[in-house]
Amino acid sequence: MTEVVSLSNNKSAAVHLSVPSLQLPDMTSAAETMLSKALDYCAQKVNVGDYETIVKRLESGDSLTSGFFQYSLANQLAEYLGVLDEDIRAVYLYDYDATPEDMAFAQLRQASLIRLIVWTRRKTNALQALIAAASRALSDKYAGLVGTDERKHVLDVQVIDDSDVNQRIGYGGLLSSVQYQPIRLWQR
Amino acid sequence: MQQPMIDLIAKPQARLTVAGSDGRGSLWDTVLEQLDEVAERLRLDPGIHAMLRQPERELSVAVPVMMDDGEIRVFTGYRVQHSSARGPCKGGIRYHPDVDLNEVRALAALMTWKCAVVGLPYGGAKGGVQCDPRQMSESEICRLTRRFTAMIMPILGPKRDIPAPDVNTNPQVMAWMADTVSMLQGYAVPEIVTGKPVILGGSLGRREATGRGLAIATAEVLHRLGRALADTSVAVQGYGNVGSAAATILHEMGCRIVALSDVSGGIFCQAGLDIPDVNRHVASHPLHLLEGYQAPGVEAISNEELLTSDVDVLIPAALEHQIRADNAAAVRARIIVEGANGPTTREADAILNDRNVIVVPDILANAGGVVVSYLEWVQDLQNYFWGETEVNSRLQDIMVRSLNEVWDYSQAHQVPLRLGATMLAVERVATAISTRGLFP
Repeated sequence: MTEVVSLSNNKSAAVHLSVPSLQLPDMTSAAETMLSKALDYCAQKVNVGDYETIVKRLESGDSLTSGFFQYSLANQLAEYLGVLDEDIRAVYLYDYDATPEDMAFAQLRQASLIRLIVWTRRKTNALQALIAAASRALSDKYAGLVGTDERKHVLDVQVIDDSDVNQRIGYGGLLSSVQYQPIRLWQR
Repeated sequence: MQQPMIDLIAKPQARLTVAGSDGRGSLWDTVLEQLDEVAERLRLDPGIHAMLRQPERELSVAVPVMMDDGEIRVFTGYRVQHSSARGPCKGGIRYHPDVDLNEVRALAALMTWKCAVVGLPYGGAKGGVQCDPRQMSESEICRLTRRFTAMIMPILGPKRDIPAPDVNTNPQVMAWMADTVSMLQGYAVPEIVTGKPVILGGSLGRREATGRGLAIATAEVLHRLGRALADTSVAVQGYGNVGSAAATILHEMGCRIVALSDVSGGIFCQAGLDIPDVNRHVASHPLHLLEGYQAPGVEAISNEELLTSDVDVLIPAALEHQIRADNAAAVRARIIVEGANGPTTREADAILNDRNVIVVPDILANAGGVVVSYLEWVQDLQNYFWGETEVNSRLQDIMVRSLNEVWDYSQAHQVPLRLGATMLAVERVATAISTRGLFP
């Protein structure tokens, strides 16, 4: 599946046509590859040989298996986005709760979204479209993997720019946080 | 807290340069600046000031771990004890690729103040290992934990230093730490850590403790202001472990929770949200989000709109730096109870203070977690375990007492609650030091 992003009514992207390719790559096959590699990673980390067991654990919301699976997906996606959009400076993975100690208790309780922070030189609609396409493809493929028709929302991506980072606005403040320092997955 | 302060006041002030602060603009520098400011206000004895500017003990260890592929990797770990003046040191252990000594120092000092402000008989500590646990298998994390524990064990102990979970560690890691110490001692030592699974001596009520503490602090502030809970509207930013517990308990207390948000967005209902119904929705959502919640009168709002919504109480219980100079003037809540660590920037704090907004600071408001950690330790030491009602009751007593002590202290010194809380904490630690005297 190839998605074409329309740039009509998109002033920022129209001005910066050097940034991401307007013809988005085949996200479906990319998502398939990512899921497959994530299963391999999981199998290695939880020391389980067959995918069936891994998938069953994912279906049941096993936090350990889900954590490894999501980490691998996040890593691959970070690299994918970084390669496709030359404005991206770095991609981070983060969790949140009110305090680090409470985050530790919450992690035991539930599987969560893959929460990424994408730090880019400038926010463009093209990047948003790329992220949306990746999110759709991953959600579709993940739903297929765990055997449900329900398209599960698996990804949350916060896009920040230099101004957010320098002024510590919103998620930009997390990069210099001590309490919740996100883990850097990829950087240019 | 009427300990003799004679030695702490009316002494000449001195600007101190302390080895150990490398001045690279870290949180440690910020912590020292705050301490200096408070020391000046308290006219703290320069010698005690100097003691508090340096951690009491720092241990750095190189932790070799056999990875699953047979390779040996060496990780760097730290345990820093900032002060044991008021009792055994207490603080979490974090696993993160960017852990460094200055960060651990700063967090250890903050634990000293936090324990002191709620009157726990603890000093402050923190620990960490530079690693990325998401790249490690469970057995690798287990081996790392056990070796790290063995290497810092000389300075650990139920009467010396009691670790707890923090970033990327959890009750299972605490179980491995307790087991390692127990094996090396030859008898069970569950009281060596807190945040353990309940089956190993963990406390009932721990998971909701921070949220419950927030709710108790909120109710007590309203009580001090003569406000009825039933007439109070509340917005909670962040619906994780802490935010959801705080909202649920405040709802049970009778407050009207009108706005909630999480990473997927926010919801608002002027008449008050049906929190049990919201919780059922979140529990059934595959990723435990508010996303998609619908009910009569409920509208979707953004996180930013939640922060500036027309409510009596705002509880930021998610990320740092949510209330900033650019949005502080638009905050309409008259009371802010900080569930998250550092949700209000320094600039925003000044704006809120000028507007007479009451800010219950994080060091006090989110201390419910460490309070129940303390109650877990007490239960372990006595080998007798309380029911959840008793744990919650004791948490209530400590939070109410602490809130009132900080409130009264701040009024007496005519300072905002945040400054008052830190001043009270530093004063308590300083008093303990001066009362104990200097050994030898």
